[in-house]
Amino acid sequence: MSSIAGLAWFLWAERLVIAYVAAINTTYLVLMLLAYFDLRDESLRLSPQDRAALKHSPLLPAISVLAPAFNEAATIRDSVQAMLNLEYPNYEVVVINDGSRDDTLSILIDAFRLYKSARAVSRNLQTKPVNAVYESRDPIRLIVVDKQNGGKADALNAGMRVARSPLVAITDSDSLLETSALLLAAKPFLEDSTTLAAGGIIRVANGCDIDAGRVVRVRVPRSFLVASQVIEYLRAFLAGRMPFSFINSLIVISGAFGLFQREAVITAGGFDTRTVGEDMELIVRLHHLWSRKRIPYRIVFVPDPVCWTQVPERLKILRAQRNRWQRGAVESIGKHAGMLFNPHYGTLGLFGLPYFALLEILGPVLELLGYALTVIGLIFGIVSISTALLFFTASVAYGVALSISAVLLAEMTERRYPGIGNLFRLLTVAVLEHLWLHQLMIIWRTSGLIDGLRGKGGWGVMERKQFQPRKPRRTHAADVQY
Amino acid sequence: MGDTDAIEAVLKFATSQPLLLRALVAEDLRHVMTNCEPFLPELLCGDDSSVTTGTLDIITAWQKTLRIPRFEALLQSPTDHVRLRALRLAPYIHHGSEAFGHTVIAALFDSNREIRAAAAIASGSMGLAQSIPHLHSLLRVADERVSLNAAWALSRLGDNGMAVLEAEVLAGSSCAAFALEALERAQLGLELYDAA
Repeated sequence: MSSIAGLAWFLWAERLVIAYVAAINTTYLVLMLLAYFDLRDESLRLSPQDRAALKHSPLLPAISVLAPAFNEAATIRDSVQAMLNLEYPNYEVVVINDGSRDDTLSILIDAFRLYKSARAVSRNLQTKPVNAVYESRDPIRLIVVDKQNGGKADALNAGMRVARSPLVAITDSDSLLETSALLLAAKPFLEDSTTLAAGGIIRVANGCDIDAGRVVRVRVPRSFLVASQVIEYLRAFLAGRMPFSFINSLIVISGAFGLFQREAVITAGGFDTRTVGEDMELIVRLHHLWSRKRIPYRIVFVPDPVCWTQVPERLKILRAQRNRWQRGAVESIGKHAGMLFNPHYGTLGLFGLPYFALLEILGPVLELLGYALTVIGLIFGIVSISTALLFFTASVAYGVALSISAVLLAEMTERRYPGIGNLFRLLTVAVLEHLWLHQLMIIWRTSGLIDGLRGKGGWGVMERKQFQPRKPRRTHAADVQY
Repeated sequence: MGDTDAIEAVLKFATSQPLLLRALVAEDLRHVMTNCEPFLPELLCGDDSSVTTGTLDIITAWQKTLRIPRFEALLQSPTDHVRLRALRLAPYIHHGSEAFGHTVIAALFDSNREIRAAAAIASGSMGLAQSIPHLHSLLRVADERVSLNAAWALSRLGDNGMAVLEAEVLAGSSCAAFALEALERAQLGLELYDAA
């Protein structure tokens, strides 16, 4: 009798997982289609004429671009040079040297003729000690904050202490902003003064031709592992950002590029140095605080400011990154769990956060459970071949359909990968990705969830992302890397 | 005549729109700003404060010295947004009268910190030497933004202003860091970051 009950439970669990995977993927597909129609809405964009008119307007709020750097000697000069050539009427670049042990600081001092400046450091946030602030003798608005190592969140907070502009852009010193990125990201702040934060789209720079800190030719990376991340990023931004932005439930603005109201970030207490997902945690905290105080606000995703970033090229590094992202998500949701299913927080509490918790956090666990149940069921003859096929169809074929849709919708909206060869390659990778990498991802993310629940900290094994041939680099075991 | 009507219509429309549209229209109208001047007093003195602030934004975007009658009234407006924008524009307005300077100095005591900060910048930009004692008081307040702007303004007010800053640096007071920064920037001939 108990074996029959066990069998019934098994079959019930198997069907539940199949239904879950199908429901989640269908939701994902619907969200992506909604995003596609949003992307075609030209009113969301700035025309080239508007951009030309605005790039000299004195009415645009000043922006401080914060770029934390840790052991970036190989790329820092080009990266900073590129940041100094953005199209925006009034901005400054604040590089935060987070206790680098290589020549990052001396390269900056030599390349940009820096002098030790008397610029005052605010006491508005607590950070590791600031050793010195440097500014350039040249007519460029570059500030370099040299501080003791404390990790990315601490470095960003130190940047906030030195920044004076009403808006602050957060980026990595090894990411490349397109020249129009600041202007395009500032648009929601100009349209609505209640905008607290805006995020742009992150694209994969690996495989592209880079010249003097600029992406000059876009290509699909040769490596399958990297090319699959191109698709993953497209899928995430289409289905994970656009629709949620429209219902003011966006909870992720990538640390690679986001624009914030400086006062809002300071009021919220800055970036949390105790989490590995400081970018997501800040966004959730802003939602939390502003909703609780019942102050009108917006946190938005803007589809056209582009930031190019290097993604991991090795499985080991990718695994560490995904583990960290998952831990960051668990920490962010866990810290603000009171918002989940709470009508006080409107669509975010009732839909945005639960969706994220179920899809991004629990989703991989359930999918992994589905695979495990199917394999066990097949071995013991509990699950028929047709049921097993149904599960694989629901997870693999649906995933492939999603990836292909993401590629086609993204390319139909804005052609970034020229030539039929690039498109064919993307579509091929979209199919192959779901045959093994996706399965690895759900294992890594499940492991990240477990680590997050156990409170495991640290950034894991990281690799410096470089746009140029690598140079030997030494790190210190106690350093907080990012 | 038709063009003038069109300019008036565009100007009136833009003043009540979000900043993005105001910035775009300001750039479009830049080459005909003298044709816009006759309409400005009416837009600035209307009952709708959002139209007034929008108009002030457009004039600010032009960064052109204009003669605007009864500008002091805007500096004393009951609406914070109007006072703030009027102060940012004050250095561009033909004034000459002592009363104008007094009105700017009076804004150093405003209850709104943003307005105090903007008044400090205006006092420095307009070279209002009589504001030095008041700026010295603002330099010592706990509000970093106000203190920073007051330091910058003092650095623009000749030897007397510089002497105040030097005294604070020597005394090692809580505002010494801002005073030192202002002195260094004045010595290097650098502008204040984000003076708005």
